[in-house]
Amino acid sequence: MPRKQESTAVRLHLLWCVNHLVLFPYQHLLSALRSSVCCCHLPRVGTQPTLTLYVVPLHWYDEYDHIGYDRSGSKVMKRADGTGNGIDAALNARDDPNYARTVYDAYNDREVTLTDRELEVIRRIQAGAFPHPEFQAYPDYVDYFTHEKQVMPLEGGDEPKRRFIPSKWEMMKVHQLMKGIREGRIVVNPKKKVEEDSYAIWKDDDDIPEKHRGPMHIPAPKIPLPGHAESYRPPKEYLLTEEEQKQWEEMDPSERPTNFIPKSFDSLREVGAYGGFVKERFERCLDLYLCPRAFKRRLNIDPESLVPRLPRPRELKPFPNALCVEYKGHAASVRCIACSGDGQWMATGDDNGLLIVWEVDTARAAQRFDLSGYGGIGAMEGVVGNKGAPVKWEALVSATVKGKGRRRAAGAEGSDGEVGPRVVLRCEREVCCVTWHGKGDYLASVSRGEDRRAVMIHQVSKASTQCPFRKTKGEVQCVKFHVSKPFLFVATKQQVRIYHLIKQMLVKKLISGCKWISCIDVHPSGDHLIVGSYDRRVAWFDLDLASTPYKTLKYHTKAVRAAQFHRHYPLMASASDDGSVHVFHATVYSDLLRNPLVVPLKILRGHEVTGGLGVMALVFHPRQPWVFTAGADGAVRLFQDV
Amino acid sequence: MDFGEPSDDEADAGKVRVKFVTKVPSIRVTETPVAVPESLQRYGLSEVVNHLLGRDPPTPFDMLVMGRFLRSSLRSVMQRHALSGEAVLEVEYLPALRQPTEAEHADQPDWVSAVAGAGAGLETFVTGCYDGCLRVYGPGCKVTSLEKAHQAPVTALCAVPSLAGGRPGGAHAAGFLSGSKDMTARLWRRAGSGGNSSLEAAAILRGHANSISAAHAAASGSGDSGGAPRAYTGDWSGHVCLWDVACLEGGHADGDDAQGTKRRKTDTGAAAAAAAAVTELTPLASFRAHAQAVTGLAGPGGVGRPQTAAVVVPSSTLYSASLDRAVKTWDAERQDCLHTLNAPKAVTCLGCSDSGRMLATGHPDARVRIWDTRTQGETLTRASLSSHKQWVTGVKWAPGSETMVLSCSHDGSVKLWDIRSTLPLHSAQAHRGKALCCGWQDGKIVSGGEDGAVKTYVVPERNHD
Repeated sequence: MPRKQESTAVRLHLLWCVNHLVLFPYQHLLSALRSSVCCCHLPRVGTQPTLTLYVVPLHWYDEYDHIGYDRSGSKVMKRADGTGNGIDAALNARDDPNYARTVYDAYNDREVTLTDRELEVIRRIQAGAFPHPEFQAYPDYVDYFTHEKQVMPLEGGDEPKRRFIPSKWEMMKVHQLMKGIREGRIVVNPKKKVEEDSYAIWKDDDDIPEKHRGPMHIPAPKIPLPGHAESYRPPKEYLLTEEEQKQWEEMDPSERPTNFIPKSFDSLREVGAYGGFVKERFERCLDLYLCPRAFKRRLNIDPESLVPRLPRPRELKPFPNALCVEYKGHAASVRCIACSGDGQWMATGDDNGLLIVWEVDTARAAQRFDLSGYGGIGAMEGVVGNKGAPVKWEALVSATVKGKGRRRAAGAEGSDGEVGPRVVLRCEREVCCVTWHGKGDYLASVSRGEDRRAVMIHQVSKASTQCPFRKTKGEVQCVKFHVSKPFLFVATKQQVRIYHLIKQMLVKKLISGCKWISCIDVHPSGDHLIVGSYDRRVAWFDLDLASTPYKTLKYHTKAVRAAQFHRHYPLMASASDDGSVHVFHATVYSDLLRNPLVVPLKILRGHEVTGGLGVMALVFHPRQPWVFTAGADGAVRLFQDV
Repeated sequence: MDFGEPSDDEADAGKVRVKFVTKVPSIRVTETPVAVPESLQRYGLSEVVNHLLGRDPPTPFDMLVMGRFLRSSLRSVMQRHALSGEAVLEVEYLPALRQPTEAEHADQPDWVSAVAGAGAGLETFVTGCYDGCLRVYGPGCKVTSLEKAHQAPVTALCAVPSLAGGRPGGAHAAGFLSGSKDMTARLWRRAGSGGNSSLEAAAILRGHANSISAAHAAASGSGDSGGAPRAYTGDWSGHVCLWDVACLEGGHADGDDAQGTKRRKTDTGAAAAAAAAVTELTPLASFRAHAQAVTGLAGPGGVGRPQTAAVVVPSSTLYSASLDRAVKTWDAERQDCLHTLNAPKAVTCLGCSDSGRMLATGHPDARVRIWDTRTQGETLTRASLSSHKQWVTGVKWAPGSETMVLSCSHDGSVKLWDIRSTLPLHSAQAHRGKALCCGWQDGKIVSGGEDGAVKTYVVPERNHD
């Protein structure tokens, strides 16, 4: 049986070969089949062959009457009838009912009758189907989980209703999309922008997009041109002396000023080959190769364009720019100036207590008052009295350092013959600041200290004095009245507080950013304030805006002693211990959206710095674009516009 | 003699033909054009004229080309006016004004702040001083009279012209008007003559509320029929007061009341006899002329004007200048501002020519500006004369001249200008310190200054011989 099985398999293969590749040698076919065909397809193969026929070609046995050897080594003889003849075959075909299914097994030299199953397998192979008839290529699908119907299913209630009705949210989404499409917001199947892949290669580099340009060309740094020393006949001074040559040879090659020794030849013909040529080329190549080159992007901004565009000072005339009159008479440093309202008189007070009233136009000392009994004069301010105001003419108030404030009427002294102080107000401590209210009835004075007597407001008509503050927060430096509103500006060392005098409340607190305020002045419009400080800066406050400075001017090199606005012209000036007075153009626009324009115009010099003190006081002429300055050198000067 | 002889062929290229003309018949030369080098200046042309006149001691001549004094070479003038070298250049020549010579000198105890002359033919002038006194100077610069006029410095002083014979703008002063920082002005009658001329107090003028800074007096009124003498004073608040000073001519108060001017006696009862002559006047009108101090008042018809000078503006015209930079023309009788000229800088002093047509103003920027009132613009100046170093304190137009101006300055100098040239004709360092005032008296220049000195300079006549 095993033998039969084996021979069947061989026949099968033979048939298969006859049908397809008849020309293949039989043995090759067999080995190929053996190695490739699966055992389960050919169940009979696998039994041991009885013959050892496999190792030699079959035709080697053509001349013999055996076809091989069995295991015992005895020959297996060919069948007696051999291949038979045609007649026998025809007779057999008639007699044998199984002739149609009988095939010849050449290896075993026998006839094999194929079973029905084998025929079926052959047919299936020929048809290209799976050979085994029992193999199911497409079995029925069996659902792993649900093919078994359970009585009590684990899950699976009724289907919810939403599975059966159209979705509301989908509808909304669709409507949204429809609307978008109608409005053109959403483009269905937008045409993709086709980027131009082609470009003109002769275009300028600037027109070509970056990605199409090649790597940027970075030219190699140029070799410095040869100088006179490299000439074949350099001037004598380039030739090295023996000492220099010795020195050159002793130097490290990297430290030598030149890498050659200048030599002189009579003619170019005599110049030999350059010995260091290869080395020099090599070093050059090393330089180019080892030193990476890169483009450095340098910011190419004109520094002028960053400076804000300001009008030229020439266009902002008039402003004081030239020394005009000098008022000579003080021996000590002058600390304060005041000017009368019509510009006829000007008064100065010095440290010795000398108060001089000057005629502005002739520089004549019209009157001198010796107040040395009260001490030096520290502060002074003049005022123009209204007709209704108690101060009939013009009054001048001066404060002295010994703690006695005094004031007197000036201008009218000629008419009634009374010359000298009209009223003496005795403050307890040294008075450092006096200021008039614009109407000329009220007068504020500042004494050193932080108690209620630091700031006092005196009313001239009633001869009364009020102390508006119980105590001051910090030492008060100076005070000013607002031009039109009942406000009082109180400057301490670092802050300026604005108080409403009628409501008796704090309106605003300005933080100057300075360390020690020296002076303040209110713009004639009442909306702006300048603050000068001992730490060299002048801060400009816009009272409608923040409580920090709109602008801080740091032009002085030493402490700012005085700063003032002009009452009529758009001018501002600041005086400093560096001996200079800076004049600024200061336009304030009525348009609230425009910032004030501050333009530095002129630096007025001339005062000498004496004992570290420069210009101590400054006041503008009430009507003209002129400025009076007084310095520690005792000089009083008038600068005017020319 | 290098004025271009024909033989001088090397300078032939740069020659110009000039025709010498003059308005003085006695020095007229041929009008045939003469070729002279272009490089010639005034001195060279003067030599040419002297040569043509055959004067042996040559006399200097001033040359006028295109209406301007020649102060550079002919070439630069031709370049400036783009003249062709082929054209004949007309050069007017006139005898040069010689350097004024310092004549007399007097000292005062305080600063001299104002000066006024008494008119042609008299050797009298009055000065105002910071001690409040008026000093009358006679011949030889001797003080003939001293009046303690004011409590405060005298700041304004002017001569009041007389109406003798009904002539308006008489040559002599009938009196003087002084203004002071004590807010009053005083009127003084001139008495005596020559060596014993003195002042009599005529009236106190009260009406100002601030220091008086300017004064002017003129024969005003309507027409020639007999204008009333008018005085004007300006103060530091910008007000101008108009005064009727007819009391000066009338002699005493008796006649004045009949004229119906506004005045009142200061005295009552027994004191009347003593102070009969001193009346207290109130202004005819007071008006705010300027926003700031009135620093100058001037008008046609001042004292010292020659009778021949023609006044081309109405006699009631008043010019006022102020620190507010305006120079205003007023019809003084109606207090009506006719025209306003705007100066580029504050005006500190004002002078008016005899005809009333030309104005000169001094400024703190050391310039003297010349104005022609006939021009219609508001800012047009005829000339801006800059040679002073400091604040100009006074300008006075020369009597009888339409071109000559005197100015003084804080730098102590007194300068004589001809408005046809931007360089001064002559300059004198008259004072140590500031020169505060200057004036004319009968062909002489009088100046006063900070050093308390009063100096007179004799201006030589233009020698026509």
